[in-house]
Amino acid sequence: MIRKDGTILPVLLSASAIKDNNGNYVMSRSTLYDITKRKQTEEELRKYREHLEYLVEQRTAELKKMTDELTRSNKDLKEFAYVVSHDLSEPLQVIKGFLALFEKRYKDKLDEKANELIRFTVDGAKRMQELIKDLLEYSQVGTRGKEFKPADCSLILNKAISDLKVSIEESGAAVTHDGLPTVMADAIQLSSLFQNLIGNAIKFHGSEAPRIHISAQRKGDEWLFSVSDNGIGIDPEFADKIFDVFQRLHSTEEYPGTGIGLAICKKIVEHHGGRIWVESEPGKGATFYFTIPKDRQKP
Amino acid sequence: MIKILIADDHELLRNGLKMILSETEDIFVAAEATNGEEVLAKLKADNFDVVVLDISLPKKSGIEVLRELKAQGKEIPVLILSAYSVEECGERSIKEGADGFLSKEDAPEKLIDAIRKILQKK
Repeated sequence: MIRKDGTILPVLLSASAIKDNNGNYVMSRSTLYDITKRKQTEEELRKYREHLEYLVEQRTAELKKMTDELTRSNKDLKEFAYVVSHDLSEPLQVIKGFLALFEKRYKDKLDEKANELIRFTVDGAKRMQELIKDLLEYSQVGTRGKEFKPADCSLILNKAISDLKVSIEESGAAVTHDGLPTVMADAIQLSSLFQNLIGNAIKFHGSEAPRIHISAQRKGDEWLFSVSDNGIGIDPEFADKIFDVFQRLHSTEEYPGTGIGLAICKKIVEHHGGRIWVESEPGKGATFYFTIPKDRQKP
Repeated sequence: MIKILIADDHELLRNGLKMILSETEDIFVAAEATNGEEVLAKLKADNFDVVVLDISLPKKSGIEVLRELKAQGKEIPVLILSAYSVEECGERSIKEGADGFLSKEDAPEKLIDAIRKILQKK
């Protein structure tokens, strides 16, 4: 409605017909409602909704930016670990190479003390190279893995067992397994996972020869694998710690190794979208469990 | 006399390898380079019997140097030196035209033999 002064007044027209006793139309009654306040509220609501939409868009964009940055920085970090590991390995190779030559040429020309010093240096360099090699492998799990393809776990396990032939024979270990499924995975990483778990079961054996059994069962949308042994077991207190990088529960004299094997296992399993854990008691063997989703493509 | 060009960006390694080669009577290091471009410039300016070439060189990598030598039609024996393993880049180096591959760890003990073997093959 337009007022005399030309301003517009929003109104709501309500009209009804008035009829006589016979139902004939007599007149109509109309009422005009001033709905200025309602219109103002509607307008405020519209503006508020637009503002909310703007805020949501803004937050979504910020979140996407943060996710992109995190993804990039994670990738950078993985690449950094790879490059650092490789660059550290280069001078160490040179040290090892010249040390080997030095040892070869002068071993018999020096006294026992000097030979011992050479041995310390060579052992130190060897150990550092093992650490760098393992760190390199660890850093490669997320960045240099292959596309997930159907992988026959029985075949992969047999390959891992064959790679461990020497230590299996030396320890007199008996490695058995049930039928294993075919899963979507990076076969090389899966083989490394089995090798690490079985290798550990052999290494940490008790007074008896190692007995290791691998099995798998379907649990909903995933496969639950288990690798159980009759070894020295692990105190449940350390059940999480053992999966951290370079964490050891024993000295290198007792059990050699860098302490990165289970961290690599954890990274491989998580890279495949699964979980890994251990159930054990000291002296009563250990069972390592890990899951692999039934159908999973590489992210 | 076997005339060598050694290319590596680490002076220490170059000096170490030079010392080892200096123990022979017939192999001598005639020039050194610290990056890929320098290698190509030195090969243009002078003749060498063998190039001992690090794969991870600044400016132009060892692989890029190999490709350029192939493009120029230069048939100079190249021994690749690398901190990468044979599996990682030995085969690739040979495919790109290198005549031999030696890890940096093996270099102190095997460099002299490797140079002689390359020359025998040629």
